[in-house]
Amino acid sequence: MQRGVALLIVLSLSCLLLPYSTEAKTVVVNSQDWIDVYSGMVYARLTDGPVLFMTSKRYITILDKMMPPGESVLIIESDRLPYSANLAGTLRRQGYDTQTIFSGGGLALNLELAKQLKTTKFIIVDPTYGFNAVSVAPYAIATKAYVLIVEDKNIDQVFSYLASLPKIDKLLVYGQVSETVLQKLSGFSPEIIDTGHRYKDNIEILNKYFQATPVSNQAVLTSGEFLENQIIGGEPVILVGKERVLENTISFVKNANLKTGVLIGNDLTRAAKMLKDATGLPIFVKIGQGVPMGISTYEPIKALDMFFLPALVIQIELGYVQYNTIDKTLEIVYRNRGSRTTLSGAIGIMVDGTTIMTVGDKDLQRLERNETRGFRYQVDLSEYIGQNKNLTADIFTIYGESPEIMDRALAAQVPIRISTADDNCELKLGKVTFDERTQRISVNLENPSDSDCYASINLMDMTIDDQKQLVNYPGQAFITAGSRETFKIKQRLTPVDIADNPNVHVRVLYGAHDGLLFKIIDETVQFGMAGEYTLIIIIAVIAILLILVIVLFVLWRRSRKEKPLSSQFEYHKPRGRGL
Amino acid sequence: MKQKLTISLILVSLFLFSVMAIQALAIPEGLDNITIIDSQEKAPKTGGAPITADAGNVTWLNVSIKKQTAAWQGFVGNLTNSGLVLDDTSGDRFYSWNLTNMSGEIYASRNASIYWYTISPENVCAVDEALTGKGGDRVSKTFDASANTVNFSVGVIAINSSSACSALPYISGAKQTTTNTFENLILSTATGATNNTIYTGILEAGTAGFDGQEYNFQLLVPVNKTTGLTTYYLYAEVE
Repeated sequence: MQRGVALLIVLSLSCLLLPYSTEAKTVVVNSQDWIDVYSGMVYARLTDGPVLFMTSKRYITILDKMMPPGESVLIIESDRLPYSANLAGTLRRQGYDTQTIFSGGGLALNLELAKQLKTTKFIIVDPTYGFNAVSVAPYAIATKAYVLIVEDKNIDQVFSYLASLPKIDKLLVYGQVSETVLQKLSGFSPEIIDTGHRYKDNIEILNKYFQATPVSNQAVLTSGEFLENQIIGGEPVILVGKERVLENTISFVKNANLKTGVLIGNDLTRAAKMLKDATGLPIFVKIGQGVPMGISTYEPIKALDMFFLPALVIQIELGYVQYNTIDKTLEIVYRNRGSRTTLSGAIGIMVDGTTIMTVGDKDLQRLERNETRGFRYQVDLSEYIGQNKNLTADIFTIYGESPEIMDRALAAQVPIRISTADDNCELKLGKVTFDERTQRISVNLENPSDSDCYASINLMDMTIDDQKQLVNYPGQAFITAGSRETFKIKQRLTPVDIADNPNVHVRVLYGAHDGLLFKIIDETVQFGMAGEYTLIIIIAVIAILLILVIVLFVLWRRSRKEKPLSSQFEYHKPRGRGL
Repeated sequence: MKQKLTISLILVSLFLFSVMAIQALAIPEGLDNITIIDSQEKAPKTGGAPITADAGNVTWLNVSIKKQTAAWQGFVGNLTNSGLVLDDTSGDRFYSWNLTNMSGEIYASRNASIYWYTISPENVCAVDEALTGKGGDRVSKTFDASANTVNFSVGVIAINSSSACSALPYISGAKQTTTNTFENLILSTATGATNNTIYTGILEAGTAGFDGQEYNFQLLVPVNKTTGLTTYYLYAEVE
């Protein structure tokens, strides 16, 4: 009897452990959360299993084309954001042997998989920076370390887990992580790679990779903005920019003894060409995949399976280029479609196809988020105006998220417009107030001139959540001649934020022409509270009402006193008896 | 009694008025001139610009016999003419890229991680017959040894003519007799024990393909005749 009970217990424990068995299986990730996908991929590589991740709801229709029949499959499925509900049921009906690990959120799953792997080597990255997770994955796989995604939200759970381990053989903190995370992990004396520059961090981890795996003849080149099977496949990953490769990456490749590179990301071919020209490294682009569907003899090549990561949007567009005959200036307008950008432009001026001169920025310029802004260069083109000549601007502007990371480029040849307009627009800054009820900042601008004005309104370096931030009015404000306008910017501010900003530094770039905002207001003004007026009105209304109530009450009391006693009682009058 | 009722009514009205006054003051102002600034920035959903056009046509082709066979899959398309246009495997999204500076070949391999520095021409044409079977549509009946005519290089490795198995696909529904358009050949890599073959197509500058339409490439690959489950990865080299 006792033996039977013991057998039952052993069997039950086996069943409990079975779903988390770390033997090599095909891992299929059914989640819209990138941390689930990334964790599942790293887990699969560390257990030497193949991995597939769903990229859309319809992916379920092709899964059976991607895996041999009867395969043993480990499904990692998000509780909240799966692409397909009950994937296990579907795959079982198709003849696959399935086990499922449910994810209650990426961070929780990430830690759970670490526990299943029972590793003692860890690399820590912050979830804000997807490219860091990509950059570090090959080194993790090469050294059998697991990548823990850690931020303030889950540091306590991660810390408890690490503290519970009998030993930690490696703990590497990679890239920028929060102060809280760093402090909490300091007791484990982690190695830290954080140069403050993602490409330099990438080179640091590549150096470590090549120490661990000296014979590596081929590297994957990618932007770090998406996941693909080969990116988390174990080959070293070199991060490249969208259109450019930075000098330190080029130097690294020159000295790395690589024989070939594989580019993953068809939009990165310009950067790859630049790298090839600078280093001589042969580069192959993995452009797509072909999956026979068995439905039709006419089947298209498909894009690679890619899962996109959170990333900064850095993108500027060219507005137009014009020559102003009055100021003798070449004016170029850019529109920023992403985050704050640093740029440096070089504009060749071509007359009938021949470059006659090049103008450009001596200092780096900054374009704020959503800002449309023009830049002017003094140049006299009078001799070519009115001569029936084709004036063209040959633009090559490099830009990026910071002066150190100018990894993008805008290259274009566009006709130069001719403008004879003057700029008589003038603006005056009025009050800047915050309305607590609507959580909006109001900026008042007056246009006393005879010309309509366009303006870019920026509140510089406001302290929000203890961080200096730019707050700006999206797009351009328009103020008609002789009018006063109030522009409202939605921005949530706590009482602490309000106290941290008694004054606000306002920078308004303005001008009479769309995008050509060369005039500037740069003032620090008091940051008032619009809500104060509303509060005064409410108090006044309540006070008036109270007075009215008191007056009415007094009148009522008086009227009671003045009435004769008889009027205060009601008598039962006899009804018309006998009527 | 009447006076009491009147005073009560006045008091109730005053109360209601005060409530309404406060409520009216609490209504947010109109949203003219306000645009929400979202401080969260999302990752772009696609690598290229999503479009609604159809992807480059791809078809099955049979070069050796006219009857269609399950052993071969054909890929045709444009890399550089009008840009590369692909949808994803589930057909949910379309991508469009302008590939620049591509060299003159396209490669297809079942190997997801080819070591490109170990490439050599494959001149034994009886490869991949585990996929196609030994029938009349097997690889060695489709490709001819030492029949490639174009000299090119893969990275720094030279591929000379007459060194690899080669085949010429049908053009506009007919067998090629005097032309070498869209020449296909087989290379191989020392990446691993399996999936070493690389089916290579020579790019053309917009030439009529199997159906008379213009393509950059027309490429043949063998697929598993029994299951039909054969995923190929396609590569090109930066010039």
